[in-house]
Amino acid sequence: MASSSFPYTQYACPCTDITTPSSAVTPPSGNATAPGSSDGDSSIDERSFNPHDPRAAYALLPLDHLLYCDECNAIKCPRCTSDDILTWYCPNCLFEVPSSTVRSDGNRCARNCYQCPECTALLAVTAVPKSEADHGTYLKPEGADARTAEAFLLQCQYCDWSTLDIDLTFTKPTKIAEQLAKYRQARQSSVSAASPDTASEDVKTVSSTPISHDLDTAFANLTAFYKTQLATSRDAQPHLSGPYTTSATASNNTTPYTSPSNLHRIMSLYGNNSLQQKPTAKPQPMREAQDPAEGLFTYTPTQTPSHPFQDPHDLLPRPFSLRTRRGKRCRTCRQILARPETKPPSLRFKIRSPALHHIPRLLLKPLNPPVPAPLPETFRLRVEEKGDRAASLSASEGYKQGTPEMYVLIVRNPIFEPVKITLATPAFAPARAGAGGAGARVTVLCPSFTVGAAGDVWDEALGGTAEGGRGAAMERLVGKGGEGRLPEAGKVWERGRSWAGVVVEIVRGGERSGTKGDGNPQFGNGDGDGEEDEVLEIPVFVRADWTGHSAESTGDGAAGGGDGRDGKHARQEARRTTPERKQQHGGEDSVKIPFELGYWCVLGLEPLRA
Amino acid sequence: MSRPAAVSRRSTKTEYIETDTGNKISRRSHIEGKQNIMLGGKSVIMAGVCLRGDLSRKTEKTAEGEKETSQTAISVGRASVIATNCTIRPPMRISRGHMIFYPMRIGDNVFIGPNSHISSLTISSHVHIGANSVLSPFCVVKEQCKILPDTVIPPHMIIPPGSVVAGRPAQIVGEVGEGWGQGGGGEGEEWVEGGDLRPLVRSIK
Ligand SMILES: [Zn+2]
Ligand SMILES: [Zn+2]
Ligand SMILES: [Zn+2]
Ligand SMILES: [Zn+2]
Repeated sequence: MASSSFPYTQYACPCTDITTPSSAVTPPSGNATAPGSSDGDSSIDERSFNPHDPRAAYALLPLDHLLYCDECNAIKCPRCTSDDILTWYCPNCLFEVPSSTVRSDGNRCARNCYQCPECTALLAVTAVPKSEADHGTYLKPEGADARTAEAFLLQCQYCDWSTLDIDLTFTKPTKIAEQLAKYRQARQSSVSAASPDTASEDVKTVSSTPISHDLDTAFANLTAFYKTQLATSRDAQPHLSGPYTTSATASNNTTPYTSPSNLHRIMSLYGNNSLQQKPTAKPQPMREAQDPAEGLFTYTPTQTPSHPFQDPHDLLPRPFSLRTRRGKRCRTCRQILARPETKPPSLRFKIRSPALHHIPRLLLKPLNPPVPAPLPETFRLRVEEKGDRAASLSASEGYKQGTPEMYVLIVRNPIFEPVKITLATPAFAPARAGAGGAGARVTVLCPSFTVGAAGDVWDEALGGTAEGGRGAAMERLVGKGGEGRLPEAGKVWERGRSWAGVVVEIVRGGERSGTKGDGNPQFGNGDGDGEEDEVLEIPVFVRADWTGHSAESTGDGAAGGGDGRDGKHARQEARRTTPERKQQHGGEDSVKIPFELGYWCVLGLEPLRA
Repeated sequence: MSRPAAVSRRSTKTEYIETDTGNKISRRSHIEGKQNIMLGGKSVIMAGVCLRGDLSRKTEKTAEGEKETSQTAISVGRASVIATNCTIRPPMRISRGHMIFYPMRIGDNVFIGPNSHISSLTISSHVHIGANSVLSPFCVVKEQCKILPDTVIPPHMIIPPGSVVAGRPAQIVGEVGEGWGQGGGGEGEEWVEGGDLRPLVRSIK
């Protein structure tokens, strides 16, 4: 979960439940308990998201990787969406490859797109004078014209590997694939000519004497094995046809119990199942290769650890693997959540429902940012600051263990309805077990507040002052005397039209037992070194309540909402209404539907400097 | 489009000179061949940046006394930010003993991190380039890509849209999310990588 800048926010998709029971989850100020109005809350209140869980790395994502299903009213991550492959394309030449070609020829670019086998950089076709290329060429490409003044190489522009290293030149700069295939064939025949009985010997002693063409033999054996497996599974399903069966492999299959499907077929002969049902049956799982004769190839420590290929001539230019353009669907309701256009050179979306447009987002920043303006640390405005780490704009600048660090947590509302936000953090955010960190006490001074509706982006841009930004908003809000203001419990610190900021106090160090919650705690006792290196990760549970019109109009900022005052989908009303929301919104528009959404976030803070 | 030559000096003390179209150019940047550089407006050239507009393709037959015409060498779109100490140098190829420079195009809302060396042919819009990166000659970065810091993109590499790229030499290590570049630019809002960089440009003074 490395992130380039601090503090960062990551969001947990609810499809992974890695919350752990916690005795101290409720916000510390008395007025701040999350309203336990709906039945799901009571269990959530007692559990806290554990950012140190090994699975947290898979559950936590930056917000731009999350989607939102407005049918399910839920956040969707890559694990709870399914992909539709829309098109295959080569990342180098950006040509689309039809899926039929991918199936028949494999997912490699068939054009002249090759990667360096040493370093993966693009290989360029380079013309050289023939004499230069001729040294040591043991393979004369047939049909090479003696009068040709030039030969062609594939040359790496990064590490200077070239096909000269494998004594290979090309006679023409096109149809590289064909010429490479000839080279391979010639090489294989020369190798097998040199040692005619290696092939049969290899089968017996593959792992004991690893030499270069072991890999080829193993691959050939494995291919044959899989073909056999596929052929037998096809036998069991006579209506399916595949390109994999050959008469040779079919004749190999002499023993009847070699594959599960074969076994299944035999069993079915004696059972009640009729063969007519087979075509609809799922493909049978296949056995894997079990010995070298079947292509099993195991790594042995006698091989050179750095390079699996001992002979540099085994390094051949690699055609580029194709990439895919994919659409995403909700796994629950099959609704399309993202569908890009298929043209490889550009990336535009026909349909896109990013979570960014649907769920409130969190941003933590220092309450008193170090001067000058709070730009990310990686980025410096003035040349003089270069290399001067001490002058860099660090969020946790000047903070020490045991002293309160003050931050503003900005909650921004992307939807076109006012949203009631309730934040909950564990009172104590523990450090990663065994990392030596001390954890931190976390206090959200105002855990429950309302954020206004998002407007049109252009309204905001035009409405704001030229400088925009938080400073201007603060001045509007608090006037000139804002500098000396002190954070107060239960009060929103600053507020814009569709956002609000509340103060969060974080005290790092200290131990959970003993000093917690006491007015004069002693922090940092007994904790070892390495505390400075520990990123502090604070779990925050965000609950949002709002009333919207319908699933269709709750959201997409880009779609320009505000149109659908229809409110025809009143179906969820009975289920979701809570008394307090009735007080707030119930009066004017009875067709609005209450929504609620809860999710865990993790705020990451920079380690303290020693 | 305007040329950076047209500047309105407000105060000699400011870090940036602002052009009529809102480009902000650091007084401590090094710009060669101003006449061959186009800035789209509201773009920022920070201190220590070296723009080699002088490396442009000259017309072959320059009659004596006739004014030598040269192409645009570097064009930068709108709201793009070139951070401190970057070098922007159009790519060059030697053909029959002559150096031929190719014009470099940088799109809108492109962020180029500090200390990077850029010799690419094209960088499309909404690309974020991390610090200390090297974009070798003739590489092409398509739209909405994220180049992680310290990446070296080898010559002629094409980076398809929406890629996350890292390494030396660069490899495609992932894809940006569907929400890449979304949700920035509002009132009081932070700028986001790959998004509308105008809030960032506004904040630079
Ligand atoms: Zn999920
Ligand atoms: Zn290709
Ligand atoms: Zn290489
Ligand atoms: Zn759904």
